[in-house]
Amino acid sequence: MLPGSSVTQATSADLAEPIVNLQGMGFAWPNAVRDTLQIESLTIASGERIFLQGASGSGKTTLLSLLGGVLVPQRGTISILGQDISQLKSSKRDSFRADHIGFVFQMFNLLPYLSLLDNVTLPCRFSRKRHQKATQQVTLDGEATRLLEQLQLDPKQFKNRPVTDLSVGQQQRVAVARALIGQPELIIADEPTSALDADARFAFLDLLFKEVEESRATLIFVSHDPSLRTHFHRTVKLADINKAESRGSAV
Amino acid sequence: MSIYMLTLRSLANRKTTVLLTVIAIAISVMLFLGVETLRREAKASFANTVSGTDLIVGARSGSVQLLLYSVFRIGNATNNISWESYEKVSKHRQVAWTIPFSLGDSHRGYRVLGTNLDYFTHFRYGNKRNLEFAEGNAFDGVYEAVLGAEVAKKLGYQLGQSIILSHGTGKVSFSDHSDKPFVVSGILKSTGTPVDRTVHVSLEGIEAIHIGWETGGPTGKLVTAEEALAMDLQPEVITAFLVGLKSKMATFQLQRAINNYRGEPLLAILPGVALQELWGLLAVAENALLTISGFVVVTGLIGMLTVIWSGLNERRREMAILRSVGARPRHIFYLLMLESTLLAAAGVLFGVALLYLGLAVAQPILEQQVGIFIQIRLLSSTDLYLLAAVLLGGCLVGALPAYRAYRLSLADGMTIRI
Repeated sequence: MLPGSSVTQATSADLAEPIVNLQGMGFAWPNAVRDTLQIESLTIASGERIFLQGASGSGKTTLLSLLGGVLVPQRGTISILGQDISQLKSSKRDSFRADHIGFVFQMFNLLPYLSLLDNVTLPCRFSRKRHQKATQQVTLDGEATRLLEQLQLDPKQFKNRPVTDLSVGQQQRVAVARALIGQPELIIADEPTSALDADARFAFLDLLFKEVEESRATLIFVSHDPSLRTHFHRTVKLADINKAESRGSAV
Repeated sequence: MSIYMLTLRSLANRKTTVLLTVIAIAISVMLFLGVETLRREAKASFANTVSGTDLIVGARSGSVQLLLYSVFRIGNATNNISWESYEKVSKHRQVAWTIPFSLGDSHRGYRVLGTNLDYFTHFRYGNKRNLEFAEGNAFDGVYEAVLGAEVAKKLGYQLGQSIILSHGTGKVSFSDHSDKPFVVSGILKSTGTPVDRTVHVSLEGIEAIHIGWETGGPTGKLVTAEEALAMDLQPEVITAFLVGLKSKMATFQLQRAINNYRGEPLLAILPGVALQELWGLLAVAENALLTISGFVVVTGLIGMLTVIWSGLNERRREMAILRSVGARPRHIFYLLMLESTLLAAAGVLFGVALLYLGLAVAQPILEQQVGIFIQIRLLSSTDLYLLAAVLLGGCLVGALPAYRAYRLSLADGMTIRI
């Protein structure tokens, strides 16, 4: 049995069970003189809503790529759901990401040539696990429709229109639906609100939290904007945990 | 895997560029196959024109020239040969039959062939087929004519129709033999050879209309049609003649004898050998055409490469999104490979469709203008090999942007670059 399934059940009962666990991790880009990231320890418990704060250029994106298994650290371990993903082959890391992590990016989250529903169900094309979870009770499109409706989007309204017609805020909500479909254990949102105005920003956060909670996922929310952090269980400042950062910025 | 639906959707989203690319490939494929088809069909058409004839004899010139003017009605004879020489050869003990040809006149652009009744018994075409009459009979009187199938069809002639022959072989003639009209006595069945475009009359008929035309125009002592009938219409010269032998073994012996004939400079050729000589002459042009059309296909594929390659940068975002939802770099490679393969395949299919459309349009024009009958048939194995080569070329060309996308998606990961 994969580690993910036991963790989901344990979520509410045992918050101490770590979903993300970085130990002695160091990463340097090829040909770089020194490490970009050096994190001695970072533990995120299942069900947590983490605000990961960092200025641009502080290695946020690199950290997310490491968590997603697109990059591999030179040292240390990155465990997600108890699995050290840095030990996996790249194809296994790709399918691990497909199975267990949902991503929301800053903007341009959608594939312009896919319909609204196809954009939402996209991860299920790459993950049989998420496909199965999403279709336990309804059809795949039914599940996508349910998620979109909960995020206050009416799929019927956009049925025959390209997704590029959607407003930025609507596109971000579609991206959330895509990240949530098939209930991955971990949701990583990279500056998802930076393209939204202040009102839309908080409305978006509310919806995001509600849905993340409902699917009992863990949320890592990355932003440079400290005004949002009061909404989260815990704030992690990248500058505090990244030992490479201080030296890097001194240069 | 259903991710390949993504390629289709992505292509559908870029309809215009995709369509233009496919059209470019299709046209190049059509050209490539078209040249190959024309080449093959032209050869088949030529090879079908005469069969069962062992030697063609005419005035000494080039063997290809003799072949062209005697059998294909292309070009003109440089000189005539005497009736005496013809008689001599036809009485040779090895000769089974001969067919005399007297050329030089025309009817509304169609060549007139003066011959005798042996033509209808001994002339063979295609797979040793005899000429057959669709209507009527061979000419009997001096002023009777037998029409090829196309002449009758295009000019709408019936049996009993009166026609006027013109001097010379131009499309428009200013000197008509209008004083001696011919009556259509028979119409031949279609053969798919130059016979269809020929008006056949007797040698005596040719002789009769040229009384008083010895200098090339109506300058001598002219006689009426009836007066001519009373005169000696035995021709003194003919243009060429076909020879059928009793035994093939004698072919070279007789050929040598004719070529060494002392009475006048004669040339005897073997149709097959002369055809080979003709192909040899045309091979350079043929290969040049095939090479050029091959390069046109390459150009079409490079066009596709350009389109896909130039689209790569703006699609890095798309790849990052796909990577984030779990696509492997290998998937990205496959997606792009599939894209170019689909484009090439669509181009090939569309090209084949264009080819058949083009052939259907060109068939009557070619038959009428050039005299080459193109048979529209299924794709040959050579054609299929060529198409497979184009498809393979498409795949190989597609591997370049696919590999670049693969490298990019490895480097970019989930980072969205714009």
